[in-house]
Amino acid sequence: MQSLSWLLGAFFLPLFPMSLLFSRVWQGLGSTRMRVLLILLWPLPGVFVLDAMDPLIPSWLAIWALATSMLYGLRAVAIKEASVWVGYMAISAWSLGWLIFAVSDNPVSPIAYVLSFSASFALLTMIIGEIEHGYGAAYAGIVTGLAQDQKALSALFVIFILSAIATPFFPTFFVLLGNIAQVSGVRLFAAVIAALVWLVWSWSAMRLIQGLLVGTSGKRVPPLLTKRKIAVYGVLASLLVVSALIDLGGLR
Amino acid sequence: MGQMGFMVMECGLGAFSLAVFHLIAHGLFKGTLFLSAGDVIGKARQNDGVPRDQLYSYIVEKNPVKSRMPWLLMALLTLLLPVTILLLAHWIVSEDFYQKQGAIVLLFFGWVTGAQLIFVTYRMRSQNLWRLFSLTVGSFVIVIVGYILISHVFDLYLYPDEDFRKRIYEAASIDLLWFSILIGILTLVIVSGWVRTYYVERNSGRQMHEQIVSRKTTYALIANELYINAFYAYMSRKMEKLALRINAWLRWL
Repeated sequence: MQSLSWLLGAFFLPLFPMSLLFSRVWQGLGSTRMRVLLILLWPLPGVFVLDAMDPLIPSWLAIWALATSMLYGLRAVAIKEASVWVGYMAISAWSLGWLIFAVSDNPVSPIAYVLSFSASFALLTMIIGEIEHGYGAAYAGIVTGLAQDQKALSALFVIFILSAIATPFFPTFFVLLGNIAQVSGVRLFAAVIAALVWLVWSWSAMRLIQGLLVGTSGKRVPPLLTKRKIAVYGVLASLLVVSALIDLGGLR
Repeated sequence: MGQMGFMVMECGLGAFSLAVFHLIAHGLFKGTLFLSAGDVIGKARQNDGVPRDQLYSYIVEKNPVKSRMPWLLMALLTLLLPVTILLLAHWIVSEDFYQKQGAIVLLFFGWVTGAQLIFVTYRMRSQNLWRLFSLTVGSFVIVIVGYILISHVFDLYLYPDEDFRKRIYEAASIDLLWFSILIGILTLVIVSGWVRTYYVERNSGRQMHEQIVSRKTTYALIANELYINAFYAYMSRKMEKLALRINAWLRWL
């Protein structure tokens, strides 16, 4: 029963090679709405299954989760297509969520952890959808210099990408920090690897931002976002920050 | 990054309030530079705004005068002026400053920086050396006196309890003999560096080929920060290639 739960968990809080399934489904979806739904719902069964189990996960499973996270974090470095990058980042971030189940009395709630990341990825996916709608793709190097023509869109893209890679003051930062801090008390090595994965995320994100936003604009496209949409995205970004400051990832 | 090194050094000396002040002052200074950069670039496109004076002519047109001031006078000024200014500035703040090792180390660094500044002024060989020299010394006085006075006020504000202040400095102190030896060695190293620079410049035409090569190699090593950045860039490229290869193996799934 326990092994079956772990196996199920490995599909929904993806561990390599089961992660290939999520990656395949994610890359097969063309619609932004479906992607948003998928990224919000996919990890939930995994969290419920693992949360329902009492004993902590064994070390080998925690190492496997860390290895998966590092693998996808590293793979994201070479990715130029923004939607694929989100998929890899989702796998990398969710697999780190296994560490919550590796130590007892972890103050970070697994559901808060997963939803923080999923919400950031969902918002980023929506912004990427806007870019794909206007430019036909969101591929770094082919679509360049977005900051020249799409100022508001670029700003929102940067905000949500920062949220996705767990920078302050987004909820992802506090849940990840809380998770790593708790793990460091028991398994220092695991905490160091998790922190390294965090570092690799920021590297890959900066490469993506540089490829898409910086440089001269290749194709002149009028601003894609209306003032109303900008306001809605702005409110959503503010909500992310406010929710982070209220919860603080259990670090209080 | 250099300023961060100074701040860490200040913490090590027990001068926490100075480190906090340094952090704020340097943050304001760099923030001002950063925020003004765009404006300056914009204006510089129209007019560089650099006045055509002797210093400008020297730096841009590389047009130094032939004559030099007597070296002994300049050497004395270089070494004695900063230390006098620093001693006076410290004395205004606290008469017993020489009993605190932290204050002595800061004094030492201030002296090295000040002497280096005057040394560079002398090497510029400006046509109006005394004007440049007095401007440099004037700025140095303002910076040092301002810095020491403000940091003293900051110290009093952050740590009103005198005993507590004393204990912080005492905790950061080491054995007096070792302290004096270390300060002596550092002074010797720095002064001999200056003397060596002076002689190398004077005898620049007579250097042996091997000496020049070895010096250039050392300079390249230090100028490139021991190639740490180059190593970092190399590793980044390798990791990117590895990521690409893994992605290809896994068919980008």
